[in-house]
Amino acid sequence: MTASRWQAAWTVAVFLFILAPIASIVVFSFNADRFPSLPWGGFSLTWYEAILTDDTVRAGFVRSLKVSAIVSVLATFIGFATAYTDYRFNFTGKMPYLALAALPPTVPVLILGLAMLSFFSMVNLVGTLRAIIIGHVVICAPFAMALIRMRLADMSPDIEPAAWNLGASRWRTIWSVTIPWCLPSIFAALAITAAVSFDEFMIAWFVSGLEETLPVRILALLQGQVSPRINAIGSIVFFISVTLAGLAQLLATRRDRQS
Amino acid sequence: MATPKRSRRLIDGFAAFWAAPALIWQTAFFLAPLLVLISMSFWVVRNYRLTPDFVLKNWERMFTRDYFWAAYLHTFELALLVAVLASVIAFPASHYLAFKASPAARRWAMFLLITPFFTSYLVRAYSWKIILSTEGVLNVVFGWVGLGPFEMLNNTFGACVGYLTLCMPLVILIQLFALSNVNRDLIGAAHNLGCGPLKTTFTVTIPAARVGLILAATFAFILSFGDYVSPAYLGGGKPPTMSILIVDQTKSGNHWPRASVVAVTMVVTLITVLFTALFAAYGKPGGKK
Amino acid sequence: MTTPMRHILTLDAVTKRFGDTTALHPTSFAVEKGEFLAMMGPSGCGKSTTLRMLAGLEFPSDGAIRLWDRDITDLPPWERDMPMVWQSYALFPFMTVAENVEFGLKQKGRSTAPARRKKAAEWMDRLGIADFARRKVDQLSGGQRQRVALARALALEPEILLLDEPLSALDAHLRLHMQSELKRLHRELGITFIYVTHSQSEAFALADRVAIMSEGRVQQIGPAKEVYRAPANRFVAEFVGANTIFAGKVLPDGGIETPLGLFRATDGHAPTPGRQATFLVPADRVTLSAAPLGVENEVKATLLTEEFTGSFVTLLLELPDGTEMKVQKQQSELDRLSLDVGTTIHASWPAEVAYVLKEDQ
Repeated sequence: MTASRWQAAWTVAVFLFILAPIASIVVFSFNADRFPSLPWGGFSLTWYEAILTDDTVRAGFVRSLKVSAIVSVLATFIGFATAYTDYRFNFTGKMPYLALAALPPTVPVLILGLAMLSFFSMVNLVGTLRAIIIGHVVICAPFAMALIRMRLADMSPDIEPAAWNLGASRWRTIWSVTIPWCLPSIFAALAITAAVSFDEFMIAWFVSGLEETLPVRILALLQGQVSPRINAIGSIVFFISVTLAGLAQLLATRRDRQS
Repeated sequence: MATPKRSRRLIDGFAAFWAAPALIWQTAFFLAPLLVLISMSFWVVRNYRLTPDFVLKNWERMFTRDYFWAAYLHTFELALLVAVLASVIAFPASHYLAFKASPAARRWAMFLLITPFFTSYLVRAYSWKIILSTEGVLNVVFGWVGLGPFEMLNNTFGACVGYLTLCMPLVILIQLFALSNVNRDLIGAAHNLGCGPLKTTFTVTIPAARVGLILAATFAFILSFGDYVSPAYLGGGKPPTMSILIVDQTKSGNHWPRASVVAVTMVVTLITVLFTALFAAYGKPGGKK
Repeated sequence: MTTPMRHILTLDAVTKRFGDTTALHPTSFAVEKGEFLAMMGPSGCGKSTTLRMLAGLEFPSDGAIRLWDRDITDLPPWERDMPMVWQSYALFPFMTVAENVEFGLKQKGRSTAPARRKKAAEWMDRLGIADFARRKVDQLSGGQRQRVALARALALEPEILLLDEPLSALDAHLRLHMQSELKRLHRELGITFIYVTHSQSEAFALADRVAIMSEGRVQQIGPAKEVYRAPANRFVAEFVGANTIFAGKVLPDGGIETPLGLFRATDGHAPTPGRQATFLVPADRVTLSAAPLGVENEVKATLLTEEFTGSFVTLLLELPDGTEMKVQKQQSELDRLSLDVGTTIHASWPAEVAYVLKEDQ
């Protein structure tokens, strides 16, 4: 019994370790003191005011929103197309095809960043938002594919043939049957790819040049003095990505009432 | 009167439409950049300009420098240390969640583990930086009980905290998944034969979940091996890791070919480690199922 | 051969191969307009592959399929008007019942939205599911789903309806109920039903003609009674009905010499003296007696098991050479015999019920 208690306590401690940085950043973003530590210096919104008037932060925030919005749509489309290809078709070379489609997240982003920097510099894309978007779609599409593929795996193999049988062409079947079925996972994929793109800093750092996204701005701030302003930005970033990631999980794991 | 054998339409526009996006995108923007990266390791820098060439100079230069091998060894050791630490720290928690926690608690735990995976690692690392600093929360608390202050930043400890932040959720998730798939009858049978809980864990549960446990450690290794933030901002960057070498060569040194050498070396190492681990996990001859 | 125009559907040497395995050997048969054809056989016999080729979900490797006189062999499924009722129902789970029923009409795009709704409402009414029109299909029971699947297919008012084991997911009681409903629908609508099943009782109860399939071949096609009484070969004889099969050498006088003795069989094909002959004895035509009757076609047997199914009892007897013989009797007939497992008994049958199979099996 006591062994179990110890094990429970250990588990709680491990989760505290995982959650501590998140909790700390949010709590201290409201601390009036210049250095975020104990004792508590009083509640204040100073740091939020400071970042709202910081043009570099605002510009970075707007860029990040723009990038993640476009990335999520592109990556989800590619993810759906790939998941559907895997679900519906058999062809020679399917294994290497799927490997190519699924592999990008396993390469360290640092190395992808360097690779993309050298590649984009050859085609004069470095320093553009387009470069960041392209790079982010590369790592986001596989997440979208995985989510949508899981949903397709639950679709009865007779559903699409039934639609064809009732006179719907394959294109119309995609639109009126397959996409409606996949809708929860499509929304989940939109949310998760937006979150990944919104948080990604390595590829963005390498290829963005002067077009800093918010995480790249944070990276720059990190190299300087400790400042509670980062707590405020961090809290906002966390709020956005936790919302997106949580939303994605709710959508992806929502059990259907059927069966 | 059989009609001749029909050939089914070989090129199907519908199928091509769905297969093409990933093929085109990942070939153009994933495969091509990686190939450029490899070829760039053979290029030269002349008068501060990158010039395509095919020379082994960059490879020779990096491979004959002590600091390169020191960085390589350091990175490898750190990643190995983290893989072991993460596995050991995570296991009791995964074990608890898999076998003892209620299903509702397990669901919440999964949620709490998946969410950080998709939230800013950068901000979490920054958060540790202020928690662990000399005037930070931890040292203040230590001060109250008359301890410290401890130096917890700009050393291996700081770097490891960052690495563990990065990989702990994934390690627990994979371990949890592996342990959940262990046949409970096996454990029940061991208890039935008078095997104590600790002994059962080591002689039955761990061997049964071996594949997942090895994969979890491997992912911890891969994530830490390629990470830049933890060694640079929490570990102090000295001695440098491979990732720091790449950033230095690219951002300040402006010597991309040398950075490519480092990057290609890292990729080859990671692939080797991955295959070794997969072999250890699945292919061990005579291994227990 | 009849004139091609009379047949609504013609299969001409249709063959299906998957890689090295042949799912359907060259198969030819034709279906009359308004006919109820059941394709029956064990799983893997090719019946579902045949149905899927009719629907255009698989394409023949060889041969041709014609609808009236039009070649539809390579027509994609959405250009055929042969709606199908699926074993899994294959309803669209995110749509309401009404949306499901309207689906086909909408795809055809032949009618306006109000006309579609009206037609869908008619069919839902006809199949007794009008009350559920606004429900999602996942809130329905199996029987209700089955009706939605039927309404969805019939709303297209097709000439041919394909049914793939439509009743196999229902419980026994509901299955019988739906069976009579299908029969009624077929009679009322006068359209062609092509029905795949592995259940003999379903096929025989419903179909005008039954096609018995095995190992990618149609073994026999014909009215149920004919298939039952005059099986074309040993497979059909064993698969259909409760028969006991005997084989032996034909003597010059037409008697058949088997390990169990000499028998006479006068139904079916005439046995050729000097050759092997196979004949079968229907289970419901056997007479049982405690003492030997001294008639021809009589064997001694031991009772193995007795299976009571309502008014009928199926007895399994073991003959001296180990052959198992099936006998069906009314319970009332058995009472006077006072049978127990292990009892020795005598079984006999008239020569005119023993059916001789065609040679060269």
